[in-house]
Amino acid sequence: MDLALLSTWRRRWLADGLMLTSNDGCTLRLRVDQRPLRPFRELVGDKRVGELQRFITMEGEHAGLVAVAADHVVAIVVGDTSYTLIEAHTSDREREAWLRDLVHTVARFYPLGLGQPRRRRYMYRPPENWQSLARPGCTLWLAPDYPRVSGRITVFDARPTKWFAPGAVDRFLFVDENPFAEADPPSIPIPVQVAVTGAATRTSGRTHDGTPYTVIKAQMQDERYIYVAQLEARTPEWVSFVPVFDDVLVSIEPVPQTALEPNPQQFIHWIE
Amino acid sequence: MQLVIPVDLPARREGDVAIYDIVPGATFEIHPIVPLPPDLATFGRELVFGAEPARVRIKVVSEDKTALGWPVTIAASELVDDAGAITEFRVHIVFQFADYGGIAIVRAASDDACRAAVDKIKPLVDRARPDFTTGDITALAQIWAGF
Repeated sequence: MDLALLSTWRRRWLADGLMLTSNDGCTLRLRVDQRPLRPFRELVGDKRVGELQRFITMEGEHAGLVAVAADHVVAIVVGDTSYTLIEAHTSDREREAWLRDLVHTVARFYPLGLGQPRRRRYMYRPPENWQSLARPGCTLWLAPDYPRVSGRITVFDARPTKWFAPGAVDRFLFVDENPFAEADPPSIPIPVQVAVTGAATRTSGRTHDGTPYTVIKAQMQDERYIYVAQLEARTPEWVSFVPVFDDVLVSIEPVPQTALEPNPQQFIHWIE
Repeated sequence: MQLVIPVDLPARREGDVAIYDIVPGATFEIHPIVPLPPDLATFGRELVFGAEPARVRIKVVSEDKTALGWPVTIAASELVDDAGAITEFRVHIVFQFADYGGIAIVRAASDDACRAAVDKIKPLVDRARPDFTTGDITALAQIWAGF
């Protein structure tokens, strides 16, 4: 699909984006920078839709596409706190494949312009039936019947490995928290081998109100990002939450790579 | 996000507030959950004293926990008119749900109605819990839920 064809379409600016219309009546509607993030299924509405096609954009952002009808295709490009919805209609139901290709191509090349690397969320399987609270740079998950049942899991957004001074301040402010009034030395790190590799340490001690408390912090890393997740619970209970925490860790999908990052191989001829 | 208190009565709504005629002469209000400020004492005082602090007399303030262990502060007060006559008996109930606060208020025309209302809501308050669901996304996986 050559998107240069869009240069011949009529453009109409709208308060939330724009609409392009072709001479033969196809429309391409873009709702730009919509907030807050919502489930894609909810945005598509109650209609029966085809199978969801998930993909990664050239910028390394998550995107998805569904056909709502033969003449109606919708895609979402997901940002950190907002999304762009791309929707195309045609009056010619024979052009379903073409319409899907159009929307997919626009979405795949869609310029959210958020930049890489940056502090950002990544995919993992949320703990089932746990409540969540969005906090700056992380999501807190609370066990069912919390706080009587004391388990809580914090999944921190991925942090760039090369973030240096601001990254250090970010750790002080938002990641490294000491809930202990007194604590034993951390356990020997246990290797964590999931989609990214790292280690987990367990620290037990007492909180300021004297409660025996245990924190397990898992830190994984690839060449671009650091992934930190933490399980906390009263000491007698922490073991019971390990399967839930493990399930979160094994479900981690690393931050998608942008296709725009320079490939070192392309410069190899300079040194040969 | 909402404060969930299992009141088995029909509610009428005034804006985001659900109001129950809990006993004759007394209402029970359940307010939306709000973000808690750093200074909880000031938050509580402003809630109870409102815009007319001179008209409010605090009777008793107590701290408790719900059955699930969420901290709850209960403040009984009276609203008086210029002559000092009591115009309303109130009980403010403030739940501390992690970063958020839940607010429920009993308002009564008489001390007896207020006591009866408190007796009726006490077991309900014990079962209060937060529902942090907003419909907003807290994990990327939720974007793809439902397919």
